[in-house]
Amino acid sequence: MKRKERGAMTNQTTAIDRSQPQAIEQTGQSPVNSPVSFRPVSDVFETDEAFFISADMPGTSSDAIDLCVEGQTLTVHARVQPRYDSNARAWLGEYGVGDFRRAFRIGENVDTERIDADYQNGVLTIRLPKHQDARPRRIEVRGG
Amino acid sequence: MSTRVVLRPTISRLHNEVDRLFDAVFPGAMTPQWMSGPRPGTTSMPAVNMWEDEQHIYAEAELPGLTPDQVQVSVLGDALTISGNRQINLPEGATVIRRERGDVSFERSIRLPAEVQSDSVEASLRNGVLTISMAKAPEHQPRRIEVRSGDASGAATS
Repeated sequence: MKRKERGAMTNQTTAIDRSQPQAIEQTGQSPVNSPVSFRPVSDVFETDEAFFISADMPGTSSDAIDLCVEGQTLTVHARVQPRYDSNARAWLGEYGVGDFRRAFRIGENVDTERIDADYQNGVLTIRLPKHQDARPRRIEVRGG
Repeated sequence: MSTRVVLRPTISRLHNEVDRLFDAVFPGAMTPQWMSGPRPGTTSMPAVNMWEDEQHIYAEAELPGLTPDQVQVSVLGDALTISGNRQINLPEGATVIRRERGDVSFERSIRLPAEVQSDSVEASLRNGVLTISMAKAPEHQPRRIEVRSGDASGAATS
């Protein structure tokens, strides 16, 4: 089953909505504390020294994020505390809130012992350093 | 004179490694469509949740990667406006393997269910979640009316 990503701030949505204020009606849909997990939208970059994964995971905290490497698979699980009181009168419920989960398969050139991660402003950045021998080497070619 | 040569893994091996850095299927994680960002038909950015209690209206939006100085919140009468922009900085010399997140610029105005006191509006951005709290104008707050007993008032005579 293909899962949808959570997060409005994907590559495709760069539109600016400058329309008149939208009138809202009570939709009957409440903001949801979701029992299912969400797949965070993520970027992957590479430099000579490392791979980087940046994942949008708003509303969690560094001590609620579990990173686990097993074989060639890196799994990310972030717990998100429920934020809504189900007794509140709801006006707009455009997204649900729940845990984030995603798995990445990583290559053998990643030094899994040295993976580290940082959580800032709702974005998790994981650094996956390459093994020394997997990095590009510069070799001087001398003139004869 | 010397020439610099950069030795990289062979093309096929590099390709192989890139291919490996993809999602594995994660059992148990699923997302109904309507929970995945804006609902169909509501493409406005950012997605907003809004609720109220007797005295306040609360609005919330997820803005990962933004700092407080990149977000503007304003309230005029019964209209709430949220705007901002996010620029993603790549690490020095990085190449992109997968790009799902975007640089975005947004402005969204939403009509509130009641007028609010603009000097009561408080907004905070914490771990990528913007939370806005607004006190309703006094005339929109429920007023409790004391029910006195007819005997005590002494006014009811016939």
